[in-house]
Amino acid sequence: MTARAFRLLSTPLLLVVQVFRATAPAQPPADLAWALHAEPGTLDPAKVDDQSAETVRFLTAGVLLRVNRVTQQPEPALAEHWDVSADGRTVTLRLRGGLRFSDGSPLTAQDVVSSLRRVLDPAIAAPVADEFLQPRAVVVDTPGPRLIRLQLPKRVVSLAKALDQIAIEPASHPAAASVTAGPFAVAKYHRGEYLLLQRNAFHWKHDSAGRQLPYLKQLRLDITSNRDVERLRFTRGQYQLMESVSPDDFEQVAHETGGAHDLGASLNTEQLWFNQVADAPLPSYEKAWFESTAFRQAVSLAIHRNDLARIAYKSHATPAYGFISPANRTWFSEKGQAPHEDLTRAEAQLHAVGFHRVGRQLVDGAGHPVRFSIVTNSGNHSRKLMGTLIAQDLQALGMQVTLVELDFPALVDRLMHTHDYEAALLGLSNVDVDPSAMANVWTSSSPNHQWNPSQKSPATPWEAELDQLTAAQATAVGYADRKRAVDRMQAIVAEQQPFIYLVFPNQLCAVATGVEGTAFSLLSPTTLSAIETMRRRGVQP
Amino acid sequence: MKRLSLLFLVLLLGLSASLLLRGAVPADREALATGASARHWVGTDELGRDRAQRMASAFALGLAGSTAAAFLSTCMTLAAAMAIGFATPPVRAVLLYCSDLCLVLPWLFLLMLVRAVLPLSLPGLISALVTYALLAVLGWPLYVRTVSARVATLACAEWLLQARASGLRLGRVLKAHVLPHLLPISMTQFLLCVPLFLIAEADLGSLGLGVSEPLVSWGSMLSDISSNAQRVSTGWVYLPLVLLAITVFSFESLGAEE
Repeated sequence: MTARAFRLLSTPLLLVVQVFRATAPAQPPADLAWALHAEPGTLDPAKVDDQSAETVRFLTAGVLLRVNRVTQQPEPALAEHWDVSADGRTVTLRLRGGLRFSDGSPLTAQDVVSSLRRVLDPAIAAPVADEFLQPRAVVVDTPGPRLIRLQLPKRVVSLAKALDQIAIEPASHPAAASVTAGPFAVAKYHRGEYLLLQRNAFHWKHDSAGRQLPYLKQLRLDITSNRDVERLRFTRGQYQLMESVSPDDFEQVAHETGGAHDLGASLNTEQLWFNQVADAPLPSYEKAWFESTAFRQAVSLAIHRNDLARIAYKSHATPAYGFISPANRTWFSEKGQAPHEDLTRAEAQLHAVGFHRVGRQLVDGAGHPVRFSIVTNSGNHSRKLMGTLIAQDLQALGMQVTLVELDFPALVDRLMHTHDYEAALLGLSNVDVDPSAMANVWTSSSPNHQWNPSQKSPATPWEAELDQLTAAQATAVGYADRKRAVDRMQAIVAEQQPFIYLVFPNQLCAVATGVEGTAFSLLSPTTLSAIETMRRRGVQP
Repeated sequence: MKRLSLLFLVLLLGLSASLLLRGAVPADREALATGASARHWVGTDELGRDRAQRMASAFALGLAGSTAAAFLSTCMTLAAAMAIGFATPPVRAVLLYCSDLCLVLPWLFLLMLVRAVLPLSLPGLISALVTYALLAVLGWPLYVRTVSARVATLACAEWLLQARASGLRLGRVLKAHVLPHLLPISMTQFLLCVPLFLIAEADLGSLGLGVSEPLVSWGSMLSDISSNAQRVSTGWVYLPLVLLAITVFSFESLGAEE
């Protein structure tokens, strides 16, 4: 090749390289980096409605009270003290002295009042406003220079949880997490690429030695939905955290990095349910099967939940016989658990309501063979395996079950709109230990009452009782009364099996071995609850 | 190469038949994702199902389904090409336009649409029939221009004009004179369509759109590879991929030599 030819070729090549350098996402270095699995819907802390935005809010928001994710108890944050009146309708909070926002401007009671009023404003449509039951009727004022008073129309059971989600922002310019009173503030946001969070140099919190918290200077949250990319970057040391690890990847991550953690049963559930919607486009004999308590109980008795946990979740799940996880020690009830596997009893129950075998096939009293499909979402490997195992288990009863994987929009359309399905296998994420968070599932008029949603009046006496108990536990003042109501709810669900609970997937996460000061929690975010005291090994704060 | 390919396919067919005739091996939930053993020659999948038997089922179903779909597709191509070759110019243009339209259809979305409107509890055999029928319907336009060009050449041949001038009906001309001339090109199409449909079913199956359980297809075998735990546990998980590649290569070789 002549020198002239080389120059001719090298010029466009260099241009191409320059273009690639310019367009490639140059990710800035950070003390800690990890993946967000979706673009945050908003950075406005008042409008947070998705997991990614929730994570950003947790890291940036200065809140009056913080629910400790590990102990699940409220702790003072911007408010150093709070007081609730005997009737639970007047809450008075006292701010710490000398508070500042991340831009150095002072944080006053007026900023707090403005932030609370903004969240309660119907025009903002803040999701957290619903926690106040009647947000328009809440009165917020400042009886003193550092005092804030909330006057509530009704007692709010989960007040600390609500205040944990309200970021205090400057009254003059709510700043979408760029000026905050929390440990970090958003420094850069490249849509679709990453978020860079910078340490708040004016954060109120100090460690026992009087050093300013947080220790970490910069956090980078890369936006990537690809779990394989996330795992590879973690194992290569480019990421230091994985908020969740799939059971499929857990052993490999543990083996390659030594940083994988199984925290035991999570609060989330995986469940199977039969379509009991009265006007569902199903044959009447199928509706009769699904409305039969004995049929649902028999199906529940035939499923080997230990195998589901062992095989589908590689032993990283806990068999479930009720809707409250054993990890939720405050509300879990031993008495409210469904009976464990018993094939003989399952067959006897089916026989008692007219089902019998013709050859290997189970048929109902009118001779219809028991065949049905279970729909689930495509792309969830563990769920697919569970569906196949359930089909095998139910074959032992003579039922022919087909597992159908549908893409999510098609699945939601069938579940929520057309009701054209026989049985469904899905999971439910619980972000709160308090059972009142599941009120929308148990109330018969709710669109999330999946097996028979949006009922005008309860279709069965036990659903009517569930409605009453749901309301009772949400309004009862004492823990004992609430616990009694929740125990009874667990007993009804165990007996009626509207949801056949299968497993509680274990909470799996990973933290690089070079990160110190981590605390793990079942409540989201799993690995970030001690973000203020986390640091890299060998790096002096 | 042709003999080697034939030998391989015959061997695989014989092995599959013998495995299937052994009867169903029940899933062994205590032997999950294992490697080769005396009981399970090429191991088990992550549900404890015998991999050899599942591969035999996938091979048999894939071969039967793809062969039938390729035959149907070839027949449709022949019929369309003869119609195009002997039609008047406006009709020919419309027919060619239709075949081109079929080629540019976003068939993956079409298949998703079909899957969404089919009853959910479709038996596995029906889902296999629907899948391969759809592949046949979508495969006919691929070679229609090639075959119709051959028909157009034949239509202008003097011997054919002589036959028609002698009073032979068009049907008789097509059956006795045109069709035999088209058989070699159709045989090539058939042999090339078989591997094409094998791959198409495997792609669809790995997306969850193909043949449904309990029937086993190449697609469902390949979807096992998507599981990281499976890949890590044993190298035998790649065996279906290797066998599928060799099968496809064998058919491609046969088609190329034809």
